Amino acid sequence: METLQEQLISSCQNGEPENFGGLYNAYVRKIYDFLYYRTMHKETAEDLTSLTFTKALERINSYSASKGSFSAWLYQIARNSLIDNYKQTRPTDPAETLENFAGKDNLETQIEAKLNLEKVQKFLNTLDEEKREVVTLRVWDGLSYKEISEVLGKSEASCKMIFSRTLEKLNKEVTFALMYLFILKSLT
Amino acid sequence: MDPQIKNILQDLYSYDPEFMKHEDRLKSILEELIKSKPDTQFDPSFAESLRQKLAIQAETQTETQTNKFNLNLAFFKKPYFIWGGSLMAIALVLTILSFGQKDGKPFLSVLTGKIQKPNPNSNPALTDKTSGQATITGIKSFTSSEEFLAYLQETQNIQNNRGYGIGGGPATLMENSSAPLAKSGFNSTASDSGLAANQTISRVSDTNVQVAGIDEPDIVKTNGKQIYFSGPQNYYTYGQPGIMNKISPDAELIPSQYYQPKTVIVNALPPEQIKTLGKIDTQGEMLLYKNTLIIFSYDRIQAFDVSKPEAPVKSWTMSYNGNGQLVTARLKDGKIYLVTKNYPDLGTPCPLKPMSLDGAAIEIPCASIYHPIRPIPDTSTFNAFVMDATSGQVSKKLSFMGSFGQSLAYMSEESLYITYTLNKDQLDVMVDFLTTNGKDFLPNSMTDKLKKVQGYDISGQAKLVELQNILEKYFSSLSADDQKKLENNMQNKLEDYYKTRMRELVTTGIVKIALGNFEISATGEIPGTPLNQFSMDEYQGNLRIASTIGQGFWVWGWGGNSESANDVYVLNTNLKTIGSITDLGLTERIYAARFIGNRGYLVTFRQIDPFYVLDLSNPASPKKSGELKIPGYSSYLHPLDTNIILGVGQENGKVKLSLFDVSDPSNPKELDKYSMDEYWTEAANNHHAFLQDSKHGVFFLPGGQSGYIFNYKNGKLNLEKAVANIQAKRALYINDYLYIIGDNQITVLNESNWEKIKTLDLQ
Repeated sequence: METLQEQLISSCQNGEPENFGGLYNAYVRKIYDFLYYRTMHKETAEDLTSLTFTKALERINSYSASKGSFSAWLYQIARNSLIDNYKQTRPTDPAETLENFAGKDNLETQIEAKLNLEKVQKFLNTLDEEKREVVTLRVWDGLSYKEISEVLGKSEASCKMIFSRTLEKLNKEVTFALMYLFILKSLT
Repeated sequence: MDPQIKNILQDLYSYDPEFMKHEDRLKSILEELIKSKPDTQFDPSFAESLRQKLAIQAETQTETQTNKFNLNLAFFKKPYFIWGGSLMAIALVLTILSFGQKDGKPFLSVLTGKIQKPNPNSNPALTDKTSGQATITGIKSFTSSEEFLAYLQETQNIQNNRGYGIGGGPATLMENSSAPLAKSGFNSTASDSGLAANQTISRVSDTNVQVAGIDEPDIVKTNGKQIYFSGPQNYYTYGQPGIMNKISPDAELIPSQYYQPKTVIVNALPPEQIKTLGKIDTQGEMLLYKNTLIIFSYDRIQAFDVSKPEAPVKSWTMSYNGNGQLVTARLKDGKIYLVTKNYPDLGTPCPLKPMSLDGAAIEIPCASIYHPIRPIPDTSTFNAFVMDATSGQVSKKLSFMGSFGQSLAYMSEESLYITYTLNKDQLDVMVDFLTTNGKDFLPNSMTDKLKKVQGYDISGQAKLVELQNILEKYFSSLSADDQKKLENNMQNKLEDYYKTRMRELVTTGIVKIALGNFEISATGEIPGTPLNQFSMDEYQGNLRIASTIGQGFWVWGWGGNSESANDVYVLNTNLKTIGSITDLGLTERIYAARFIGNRGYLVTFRQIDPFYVLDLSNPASPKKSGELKIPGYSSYLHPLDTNIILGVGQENGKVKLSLFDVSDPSNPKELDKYSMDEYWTEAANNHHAFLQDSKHGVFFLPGGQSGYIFNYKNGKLNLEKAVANIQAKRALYINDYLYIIGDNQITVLNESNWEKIKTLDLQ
């Protein structure tokens, strides 16, 4: 039996694109968040979210369930939008995104937010491409291995392997981190 | 327990029950992560306005599709909620990072390399230190499957015991960025198919490659008669500075996999009558040898006999087994040199079966699997093959154990070099820091205890617990004043410690395979990580390699630009370092490197672009001969002429081309520059997108959606011709015609007057 999502997709494909609304409701927050994590910039994430859904609606007929899940298809469009955006704009200076962070709060919070952002970027830059993709899709975006494999065009087994390898290492890092956290605590 | 945490944990347990042992820790980490989840500032009013916009779009689409007004007011009014649950939106990263800092300030900690005095001549990971007698290569092969599994077990122990500096540098599985021209063997192709009697081919371009005569896979190939174009597609490009690595886009946003993958075959002659001959239903980068077209798609390598280009016939298929993937491939004299990588686990005994040819597994026996004598963490097996391009038959093969991180390959006339990143054992580093520097802030009794623990024959995990106990006891015995003093002293010492050890934290292992007998002829190790294949070059038997130090060892605030440096090493045939230049571009990182004969050219960048000219005429004493500081940076360097180097890069967010005059190596000059009205060119990251035609004194590069042809005569850069909006990808020349290949069309230009001869639609 067709799921509600499948019904919506096929009705969109059969000349009733107004039913896209249900799909939009289901995914807008996910896609927006996905784009925000990768741009750390509210307006950019909004622009790219618009682009993603506009394109998805326009090309809904090219989606085929036999080639992968609808969510993976949407994430791929979002990812391609992001890439196009990278191509067309200068890299954003972390400082420029500062205004996005808790602008209403005090300076200290802002600086902390900025430091965090810089650290995240620094950390991400030390991961190689495939690790970064797999880990962020799994942990930040909460995708399943199957979805990740569809988005990235890799096998599910290799996504699992990459994720667990990276987590194993992260876990190890944390052992050290916790130890220092402990030292810090005992020092203060 | 939070369902998200539960889900992630269960996932991990089902993959590896070992994770269960750390449940409490993992749980608290995940909780911490959720607490520090960045607010994505999702604005419901934005969602509402986009909803309205889409509703209008849907109406318009309906009108177009059905050609009638069918206003459906139900749009977006039905409250469908297909996905429930909130987002797991935390960067694991964030938590870990937040653990590592105090008062918003990086808390430098204790980690660094196996602490020997830096000695570039030693190969710590690859030499047998215990026996004292270094074998020729410092590696050996396995004698049995049991030994292989025992080695894997040991590497896993190390892995579990080690912290890690995450493999750093530019992530590169396929070789990336930025090139001479390879003769891929097809000029000698003599098949007459498709060639009109009155057409002769006096010259034809090849893919822009690093080493002349050694072809590299790319999305366009030609033999002068046919053009093979595989695309459009998504594929990885690397090295764009300052931003997350990204996947090179389609002109269309809709994922390419929803298009039928295809490689089109085009009859190229006569130029005014080019036409599509046929297509192959697969795509990827390609190699072409005589009548065999080899296509590297993500899960297999397929070869097609194209002697009848209108009807290609599949000749062989090589598929990856398990989690295997392509590292790189080269084509030389009809042989394909293929490098792949697998992540083995304890369930993978030797003989390894990394690939299958037409369904039959290719076995690599235990004795052909080489490993460093001292196990390294995070092991991958690299598999190298020599294959006959026409038949696919594998004539030689071997495997070696390297690390999982970044891997680059460079092939010269004589040798194939494969690199992998090595990260030092953080436990060793921590203990070493405390034992060597601890005397300044810890009592002797403490350092003795720490040394003792280090010597225990127990797992690293157990050692860590022991260390923690010892330190815990000690710190809690101190007064608040003494704790503050200790903290300051430790921080201070750590800074110094890092500076002196930065060349040991992240290193690059190099394995050299002689092409003749296809055996490992040497192994070596250098500090830091190379950027891309152009960071390596073999000249008169020596390997020159440029690396960035201090990137990629991410530990509590260490690593990153502020502490980076750039070095160039010269290694002899045995991969022993015989000369070096260190500390070029402090606080910067390498953006481009190119070695040509006795010279090296290097671009480092942070805010300005120092372009360095290196004198490598005496391999034992390489030196910087000159430098030029200009705004922006170059990420691809191409020698247009003996003393003219073109730099392709960026300045102020736009594509910048710089012409460097290096006739006086002590005083390089920028002859001319051109700022393109484009944000991006693939040539800055992928040398295959660049084409030089020296006969006409021009070069091609794509920019945005268009194709650009520049004239570089008389030391000036002049835009000769722009071909707008064809989603340009590559160009090639046949005789005196330039073919610009875009995602959806090919445009042919007459190079004598740059007039458009013909446009072929590929849709």
